[in-house]
Amino acid sequence: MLSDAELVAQARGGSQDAFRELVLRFERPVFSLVARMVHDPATAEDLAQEVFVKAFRRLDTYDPQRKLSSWLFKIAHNTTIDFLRRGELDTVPLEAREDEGDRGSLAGVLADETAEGPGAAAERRQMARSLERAIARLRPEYRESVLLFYVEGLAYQEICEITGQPLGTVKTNLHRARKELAAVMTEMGWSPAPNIGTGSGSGAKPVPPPSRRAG
Amino acid sequence: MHPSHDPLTRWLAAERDGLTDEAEELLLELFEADALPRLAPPAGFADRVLARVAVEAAVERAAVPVQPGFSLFRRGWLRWVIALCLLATGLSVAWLPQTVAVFAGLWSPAGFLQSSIRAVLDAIRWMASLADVGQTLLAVAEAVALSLARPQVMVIALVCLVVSVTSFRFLRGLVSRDRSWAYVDPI
Repeated sequence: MLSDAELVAQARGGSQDAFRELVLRFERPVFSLVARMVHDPATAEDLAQEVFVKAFRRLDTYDPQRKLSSWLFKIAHNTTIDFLRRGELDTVPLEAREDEGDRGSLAGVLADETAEGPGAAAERRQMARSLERAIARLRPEYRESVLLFYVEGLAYQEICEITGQPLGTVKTNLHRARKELAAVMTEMGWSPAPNIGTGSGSGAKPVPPPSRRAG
Repeated sequence: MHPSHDPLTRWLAAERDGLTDEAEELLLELFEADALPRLAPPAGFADRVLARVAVEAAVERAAVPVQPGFSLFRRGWLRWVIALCLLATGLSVAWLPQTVAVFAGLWSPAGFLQSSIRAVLDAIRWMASLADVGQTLLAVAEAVALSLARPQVMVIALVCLVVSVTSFRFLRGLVSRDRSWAYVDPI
C-alpha cells in the first residue's frame, strides 16, 4: 500500500488514480469536520469538495515532511471560515426532530448497527446522538478543537498549526470545551457514576438517561 | 447497561469531582471507543471531486473568461438610489398623519379645499425648512472650502485621507487573512 507522500508524488505527476486514492483516504475525516462545523450535509459536501479541489491545485506546495491530514485539515479550516464569513448558510438542525427519527440527519449515520446487537446499538446511538448535540452546542473554536483532538486524534501542535492558535489557547479551549461538554451531557440526562473507581466496570452503575428530548 | 456508557459516566464523575487528568483520559477513552464516528460523505464523493477538478482544469485551459451574472444591484448608482428611496420613505413617515388627514378630509368640497390649502401651506413650509437646511449646509461648505484653501489645512486633510484609506485597507487585509473564529458568527 502506497504512503500518502508517494500518492501525492504520483498525483503531482498527473495520476488521477493516485489523487482519487487520496480523496478516498481522507474524504471521511474532512467531510466529518466540515459537516460538524457547518451543520448542513449538503453544504458540507460542497465545501469538502472545494477542499480537495484546492488541495489538488496546490499539491506542489505540500511539504511531505508534514502529515497530509494536517495539511488537508488546514485547508478545510480556511475554507469553512471563509464560507461562514460570507454568511450564506441557512442552517438546519444537526439532529432530526423526534417524530422524524434519524432520517436525513447527521446523527442518523452515527452508529454502526451491523457490528452489535440491536439493543447495544440503540444505546450506542443514543449516546452518540447526545454527544453530537453537546458538541454542536459548543462555540465554533471549541468545537473545532474537540473534533480535531478527540475525534481525529491530532496532537496539540498539529491543532495549533491548523487553527493558527497558540498552544496555550488550544489547551484552554480543550479544557473549557470538556467542561462544557460534561455540563451539557449532564443537562441532557446522563448522570455521572457515583464514584469513578479504578477501571471499567468498577461497580459504579451508570444511571441510564431519561427519555431523550427532541431539542 | 452497555459497557459503552461506562467511560461516559466515569468521565462525568471525574468532571464532577474536579479530577482534571482523569477526566481528560476518560474522555479520550470514550472517543477512542468510537463514541462519535466520523461521518461519511454521500456515495460517489471522490468521483464528484475528480469531475470538479477536471471541469475547472478544462475551464482554465480554455481560458474562458468567467462572466459574472448580470445583476442590477451590483451597480453603485443603483445602490445609492435605493438608499435615497429608503431614506425618503423613512422621512415620509413624519408626514403620514397629515397625508391621512388630507385624504380623510376629501369627503366634502369644503374639507377638500381646506385640506388642499393646508397641504400647499405644509409644502411651502417644508420647502422653506429645506432652504434653511440648504443654507446651513452651504455655510458649512463655505467654511470648509475656506479652510481647505489654506495649504496647511489642505495638506493635513490629504494626509488624514491617505492614512484612513491605508488603515482601512490594512485592517481589511488583516481580517481576510486571519482565519480565526473571531470574525465568524457562531452557528
